[in-house]
Amino acid sequence: MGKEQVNADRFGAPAGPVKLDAATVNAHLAILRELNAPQSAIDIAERVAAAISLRQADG
Amino acid sequence: MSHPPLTLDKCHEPRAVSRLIALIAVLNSAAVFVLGTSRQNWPPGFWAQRAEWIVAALAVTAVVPLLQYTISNRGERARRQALEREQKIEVFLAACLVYVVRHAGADFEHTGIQAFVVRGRLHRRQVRLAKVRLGAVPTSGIVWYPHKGVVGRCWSARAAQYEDLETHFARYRDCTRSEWEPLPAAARFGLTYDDFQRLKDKYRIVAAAPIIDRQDRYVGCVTADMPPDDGARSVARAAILASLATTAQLVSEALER
Repeated sequence: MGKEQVNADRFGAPAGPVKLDAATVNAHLAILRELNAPQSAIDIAERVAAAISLRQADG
Repeated sequence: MSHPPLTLDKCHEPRAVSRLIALIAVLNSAAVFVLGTSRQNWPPGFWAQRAEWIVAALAVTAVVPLLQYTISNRGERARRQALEREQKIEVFLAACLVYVVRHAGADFEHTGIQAFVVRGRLHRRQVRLAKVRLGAVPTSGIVWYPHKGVVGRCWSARAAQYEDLETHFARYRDCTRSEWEPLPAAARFGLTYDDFQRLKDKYRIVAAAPIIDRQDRYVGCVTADMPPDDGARSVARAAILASLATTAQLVSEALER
């Protein structure tokens, strides 16, 4: 199982009734770039965005 | 499947490290004393039968500087990592604030975004890790246990919360202590009368999303709060909750690094 798949599986964990969606995560990522956030913070957001996109693509 | 909530065990490290440093200092002092007195042959003849004590003291004095260097180096690295983690979390909270202002109609100056984590082993509570708010609002000083306040409900339910506290508390605003105390805990949000007096004019909307780690444990929560002053504004509940859930996920990732 690839790393992205492992990460994607994490988002199936119970986190309340609010589902993460790629559009919101990508909007946060864009704001982080606007704010000149440290690269390590942007890396985290990119990883989360990729995992959410993967999960949504898998349906 | 339920897991015990996560305690950030790193909080207990500084105390253990302080004890270790103190122990090393005592050992070093004892070793120096042994070496000094043996060299002076005091008490006379005492050390002739105890050569192994002298060897042990020599070993201790040789090792102590290396241990001190290692501990200090690890401590410095841990402090640096904690600082970097805190900076990342603050920037995630700042992004959340910008998002809820742009997409949920929240007020830029008075909206607060905060991250709480569970701390303590016996005295388990949620303490604030970071906060972003442009306006100056004094802290309530309340300790957040499970079931207490919106933050406590998020903890006990492990689910996102969204409450209009101004509307909810409006009917209890003029309650006396004797009227407040018999109220059901759900109506009081688990607050004591004194807590209520401190909070009743502080918040309008409070929302929280849980931070869940990779082992599916509750680590803390990310909250958004808005004071009653901007009561004329209407805010988009779904956008706030979506932003908090996203930020909670980002904070969870940052905490695990």
